[in-house]
Amino acid sequence: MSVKKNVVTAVKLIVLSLLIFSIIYPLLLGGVGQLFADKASGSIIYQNGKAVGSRLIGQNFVSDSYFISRPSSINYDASTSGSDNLAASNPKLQQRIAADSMKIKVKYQPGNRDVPVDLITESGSALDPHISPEAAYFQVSYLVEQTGISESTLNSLIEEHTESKLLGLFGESRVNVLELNLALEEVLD
Amino acid sequence: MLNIIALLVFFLLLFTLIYLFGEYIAWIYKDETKSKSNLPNKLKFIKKLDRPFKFVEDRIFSFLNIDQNKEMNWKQYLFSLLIFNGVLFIFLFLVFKFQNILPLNPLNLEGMSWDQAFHTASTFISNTNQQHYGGEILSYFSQLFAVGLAMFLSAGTGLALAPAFTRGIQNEEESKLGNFYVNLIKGLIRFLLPVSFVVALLLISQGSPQWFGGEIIVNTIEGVKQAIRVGPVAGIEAIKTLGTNGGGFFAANAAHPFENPTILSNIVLNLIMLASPMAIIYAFGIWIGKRRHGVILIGALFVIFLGLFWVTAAGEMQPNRAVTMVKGDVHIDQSLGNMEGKETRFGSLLSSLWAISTTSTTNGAVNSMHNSYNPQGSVGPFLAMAMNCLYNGVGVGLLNLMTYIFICVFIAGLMIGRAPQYLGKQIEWREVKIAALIILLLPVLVLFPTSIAVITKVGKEAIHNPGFTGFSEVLYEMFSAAANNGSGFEGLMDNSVFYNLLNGGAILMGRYLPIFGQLLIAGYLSQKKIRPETEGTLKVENLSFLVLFVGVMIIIGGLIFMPALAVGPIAEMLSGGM
Repeated sequence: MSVKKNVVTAVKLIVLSLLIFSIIYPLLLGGVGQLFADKASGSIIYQNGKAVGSRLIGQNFVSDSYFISRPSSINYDASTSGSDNLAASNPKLQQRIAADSMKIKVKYQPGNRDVPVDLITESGSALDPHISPEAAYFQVSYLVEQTGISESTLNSLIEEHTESKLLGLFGESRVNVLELNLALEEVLD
Repeated sequence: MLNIIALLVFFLLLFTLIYLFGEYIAWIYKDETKSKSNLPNKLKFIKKLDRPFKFVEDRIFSFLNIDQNKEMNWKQYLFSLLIFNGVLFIFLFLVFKFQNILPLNPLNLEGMSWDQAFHTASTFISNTNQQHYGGEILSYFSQLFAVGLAMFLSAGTGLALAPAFTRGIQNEEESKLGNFYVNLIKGLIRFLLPVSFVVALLLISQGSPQWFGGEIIVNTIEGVKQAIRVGPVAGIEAIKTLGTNGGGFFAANAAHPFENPTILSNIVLNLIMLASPMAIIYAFGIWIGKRRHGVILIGALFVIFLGLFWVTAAGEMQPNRAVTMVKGDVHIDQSLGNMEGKETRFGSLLSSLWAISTTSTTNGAVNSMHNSYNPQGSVGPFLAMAMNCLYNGVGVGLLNLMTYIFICVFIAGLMIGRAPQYLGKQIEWREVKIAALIILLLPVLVLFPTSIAVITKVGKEAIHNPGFTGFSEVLYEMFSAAANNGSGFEGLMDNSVFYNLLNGGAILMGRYLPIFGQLLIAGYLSQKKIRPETEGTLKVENLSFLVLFVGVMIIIGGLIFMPALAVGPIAEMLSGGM
């Protein structure tokens, strides 16, 4: 084929591809995706008819009466994403972890209990909606003091909201912090 | 123990998928490759798909005015490929540069600078997907009409090379390798589009959005406003993974809960990421009538893959050193391993598995941040990229593998004192020379730019972490560009004229020069006679070939980069930190 014929074919193919891959494919997916209801539109959670967050996107809980999420360099600003990418050898990471673990120590008074590592490390997305079950149980005694809810109630809330490994094999068990806090709020009311 | 069972289940699923994809892809290009085997009886039902697909394709060919029977020699094939990719490049560049005045920009995002648009267009036409920007700065128009489009077309371009190269081996004294446009369109319509669609639906069922609403503003229970960015994520995520593309919709890539919401979505994505390039190697075995040869090749690569995975997983299940160094009688439970830069749902094991998968397939998507890996953990991804011959990209993976095979066959020929032969084709000095040049191209494209970057002020200013890791960041970025991988150490502040031009240039050369060389080899082979196998022929279907091939890959692919790696991650590992 000559140069001209090649260029014409290439341009026509790109126009056709735009139609197939950039218009029909995403729109058709969006349409069929409606089968999965709210999942195609961001898994938004509503409370009394108002959107309070997404099931999949973590939030920064600062109030003393809620479970806290993992540290996030972007403070769970979901218009962006991504961790701070600090290397293990970077003094900044050592300082941040030292400061965070000191805060945890002062706030939760662990005594001789171990601090779960996920509470002092940042996730890759910096929007992690989960903490480990251990990290949730770790916060119980503090929340008993703050909210007056009994330890057994809080423990059973965590148990209810613990998602196990896939098929008992893949990934890690975890607790969705927003859902846990919504459940906690229900108990408080 | 549980981890080992999990891995066994994963690999069992992977091999099943390779078998299915491989037989399917082999069937798609049955005629184009002059295939020597047929579909196995239990998969014969696939043939029923031929008519509907053919109906669609015939309409496309007649719209494009393409004569399906008109075949091209290697020069014409390369020429059509380059022109098609060139036109695509210009289109992408314009979209990225002028997205501010294009539609579907609800958040009024700005256009890219010319150098960033150059880098971004280069990276997407070449299936590299190295990103010098966070996905959040692209408008929906750019995501759908540039990124999404290029993900299909660059993967299709790679895929179209596999049957042409195979044809060169099957031909006897002729010159035609097939029609580029026919191979491209068949791959897109029969493989990439339908499989992406199914995977995307699965992702939506797991929570990946396919939505055009911009941002959703919520009021949290603590009374704070949170703006949540959504978009047509699922569709792009599917082709991004299947087509060994790897460019994230969001900056956090597949660590972002909207790109990769659950453990199930992670397993599915990880499986198809590995299966699509591996299946083409299996399909190659089918085409040449030696299924066992395909299995042996996959097996050889798998040995190296497992080795690298073991190094990385063992490294990442260790605590992060920064956590270990915490003093002041705080006791930290480190049983989860290094969780800095990792998602709770994936943990260390699935993150390590993904890290090696994404680098050994030139995918480049990440589900955890490699910059925060322990030094031992980061050695695996480094080596997987350096070899650039593990499963590699869709289609081009097979070609890169063949390049190593020619070297391997040549060395074996020297050892047994016979004229080197592969599948009945005599391998002569011309082919070996080109293969050697292709292999040497990677060190040139990696090490020269790295040295320029670490001796210039502008190069050094971009470094994010101090010490050896800083050097690793630069080295990793250059690897990722030249090997068309796209994986990122992410810390490097790489959006500058300097890095955009340096990486963009390396990306283009790293993609098109090897393709040129490999098509040239295919052209040479195509003209040769096929010699009958004799007792002296090197057998390519047994274990000794596997061992030989692994040895050649480790010595040539791995050792070239040892000195550079010694200054980066290995030095950091040995120094115990700073």
